[in-house]
Order: sequence, then C-alpha cells, then structure tokens
Amino acid sequence: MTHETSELQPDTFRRDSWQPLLGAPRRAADGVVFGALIGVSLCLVVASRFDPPVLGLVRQAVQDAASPVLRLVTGAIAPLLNARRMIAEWQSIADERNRLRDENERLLGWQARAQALERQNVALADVAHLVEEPKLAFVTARIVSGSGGPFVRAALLDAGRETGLQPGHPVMSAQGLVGRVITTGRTSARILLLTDYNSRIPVVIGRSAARAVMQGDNGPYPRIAYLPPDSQIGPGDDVFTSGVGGVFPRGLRVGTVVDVGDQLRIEPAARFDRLDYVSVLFYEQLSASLLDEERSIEARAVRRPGTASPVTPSFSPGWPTSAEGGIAR
Amino acid sequence: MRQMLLAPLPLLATLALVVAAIVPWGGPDWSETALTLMPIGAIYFWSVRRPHLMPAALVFLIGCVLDVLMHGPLGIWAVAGLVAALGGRTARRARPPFGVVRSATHLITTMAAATTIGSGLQALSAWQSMTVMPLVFAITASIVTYPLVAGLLSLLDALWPAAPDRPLFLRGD
Repeated sequence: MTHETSELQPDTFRRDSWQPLLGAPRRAADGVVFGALIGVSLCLVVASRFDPPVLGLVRQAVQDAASPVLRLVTGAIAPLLNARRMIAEWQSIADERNRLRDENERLLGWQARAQALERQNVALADVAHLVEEPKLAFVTARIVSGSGGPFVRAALLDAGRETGLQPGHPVMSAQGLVGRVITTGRTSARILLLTDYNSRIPVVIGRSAARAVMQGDNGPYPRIAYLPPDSQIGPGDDVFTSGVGGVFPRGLRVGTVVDVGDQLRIEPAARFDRLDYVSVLFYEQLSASLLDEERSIEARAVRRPGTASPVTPSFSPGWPTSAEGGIAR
Repeated sequence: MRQMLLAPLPLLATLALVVAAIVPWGGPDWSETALTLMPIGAIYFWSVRRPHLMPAALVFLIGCVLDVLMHGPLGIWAVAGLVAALGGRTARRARPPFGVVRSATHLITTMAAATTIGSGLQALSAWQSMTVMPLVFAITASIVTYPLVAGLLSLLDALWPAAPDRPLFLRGD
C-alpha cells in the first residue's frame, strides 16, 4: 500500500484490523435487531387485518399530513406531465382525427337508435309504474398519490370528510369504475383500486347478464370469480356493476372481457396510468341505508302508542321492491 | 462536521424516492410498479455502502411510512425493506473478489426475496393465492431499475471521503 493511498483512507482499513474480533457479536446483535423488527412487522400485518381504530387514526393523521406535500409535488410536476401528454397527442393527432370521424359516423347511427329506445323506455316505465332511480350526487377530486406498486393498488384523493366523502363511495373516471373510498381523513381520502387483491365487485357480464364477482389480484386484468358454470361469456363482452350486495349502484361501467392466455379476465375501462381527476359518487351503501331505515321504523313503532311490535320491511338483498310494486333499484 | 452534515443524506434520499414513488406520474402500469420499488433499491444501496447510516430501525420506519402512504396493511413494506437491508449487509460481508457476477447475484437474490415476501404477505393478508406474472414482473422491475437508483445515489455517495483502493462495490464506509 503506498503512502498516498493510506493518507486518503479515513479510518476504513484501520477498523478492518479489529473487525474480526468484534464482527461475530456485532453480527449477532444485528441479527437479533433485524429478527425482532421483522417479527414486529409481521405482527403489524396481522393487526392490520383486524383494522384496529388506533391504526386507522395513525394512518389518517399521516395521510392528512402528507396530502399538502403531495399536492404541492403533483402541482409542480403537472406542467411536465401536460407537456408530455401534449407531445404524445400531437404525434397521434392525424390517426386520432380519422378514428374520431369514423366513430362519429357510427355514433350518429346509434344516436337515432338510442332516441327511439329512450322513447320506448319512457313509455314502458310509465305503464309499469317504474320508480325512478335516484340521481347520484358526486364530487370531482384530484388524485395526488397513486400506487401501482407490487403489493397494493390504491390512490390518495385530495378531498375528504370535509367534502362529504365516506368510506364505500364508488369512484369513477370518465372511462369507468376506478374503485371505492376505503378511508377518509379530514382533507384526504384513500381509494382502493379495483385491481387490488382486496377488491371484490359484483358484476354483470355481457348480453346474457351473467352474474359474477370481479376479483383483483394486483395484476392489470382482474379475475372473474363465481361465474355460474352455464354462463355464455366471451372476449369483448361488456362488464357493469350488478348492484348485488348494495356496495355499488347498478350499471356502472367496469370494463370488457378479454382473453389472457387461456383465461377469461376483465380489462378495466378506467386507464389507471392516466388517472388525474376522478368523480366520487355519493352513493349510500344499501346495507347501511336499509339498516337506518329499519332503525327509524323501529323508533317510530316504539314512539307510536298502541303498536304491538316494530315492523320489519321484507326485502331481497340487492333488489328491494318499492311500495308501488316496481323495481326500485 | 462534514460527516455529521452528510449523515442524514441516505434517509433524505430514500424519502425523496418514497415521494417520487407515490406521486402519480401518469406513466404506464409497469413504470409505477418500478417506481414504487425504488425505495427498496435505495435501502439495499445504502445497506451495502453505508450500513451504519441505514440502521434496521430506520429501515423499519421507512417501510412503515411506505405502508401508510400506499395504504397497504402495515408491515409489508417494512418487511420488504428489512429483507433488502439484510441482503445488502450480507453482500457487504462477502469476501473478495467482488466481481460483477457476484454483485449481481446478491442483488437479484435480495430483490427477488424482498418482492416475493412482500407479495406473499399481501396475498396472505387478502387470503388469496399469489399470482405469478405480476410477481415476476415486480421482481424484474426491481432489478432493472436498480442501476438507475444506484447511479443517482452514487452521486450523493461521492460526497463522502473515498477509500480508493477498496473495490467499487464496497467503497465508502
């Protein structure tokens, strides 16, 4: 070793001379610390499964604290993203113009057909005393953090309880269903994307209206589960929410059936790589609303003198019948 | 004095990658997966180069921050980070020669282990079977993006006084 070299080394190789003596105990201590922390982490994974309120509060506090920082960063990179998008659009503008021209011609044909069907629908609804589906209010918010990570598919919205968001509210992009709100902070909310492992959405597929459950698996194409064996579905079939279970309203566009390998899966209509602004539908979950209704009926029955027992409304899950006998949902 | 000023740099650089990982860049799906795995690459990098500045407790905290910000079950990113840090330390303790093949083997094994354990825990927590293709993709993404992470962090690492006759692989501490 030259004199010059040893001068340049601060304390590296001097430490090496006594390292063999201390190496083993230090490594053992290191191992214990690592083992203990991995143990703690595994306990946290198990604890998260039971979703204790303390963890929820910690999460919300961190989310609310991080939300302004993320909003700032997202705002700062927005011009960059817009510029990139514009360049990409310029490159494909001629193709896009031709595609839109063809599509416009096709849609004009559909428009006439849709108007005729609408008139027919109004007439039939009138005959059948169909109760109108309630119009859903919504709010549009911006996604400030996304996670297309390998473990979790979720995103953070810059709107929370202050804006009226509640866990369970469906989230839509212009193309289709994105997911649902799972936790809400004061000014932020977390949405679980429909591609996440924990996402299960009752859907209806194709013209045969086959019912199934769309099950996320962290990949780009969620699985189709619980499909009746005699169902006739194939690639290209449209997929919508079925409304079964009451978590989502019926008829939200979800995606299309695609053939992935030798398996039929669902390609979501929403473009998760281009999520920016999304709409949160103020849809009250059916189970919650029915529970509230039941409670209010019970309360009325208790208040009213002379009532023998509280009245419990009868309903079939997901398809309650209205007082007039029409289908309410 | 200089060492004191430089000490928080590994943590700050890793946190910057955490923020970069969760900001919606609007890229394709694979790019988001690759971005989210960059902090794991950073943990591995600092565990090889300067393990005393990336202690286990700090790795655990960074993992928990990632878990909260990505809204996974708490502990998954923490475990993945700890596995990456362990892998980095093991690579550091390896005896010479530090060839490219050996370094690459350490890197691939560590990233594959961290990603597989993370995905496995997530699948277990959701009570689902693990899907192979997203996992293979995530492992590949974590390995392919590492040179970029290492390249960026090496610029910071160069701020420390160098020990020139040590192999490049371990230069620094």
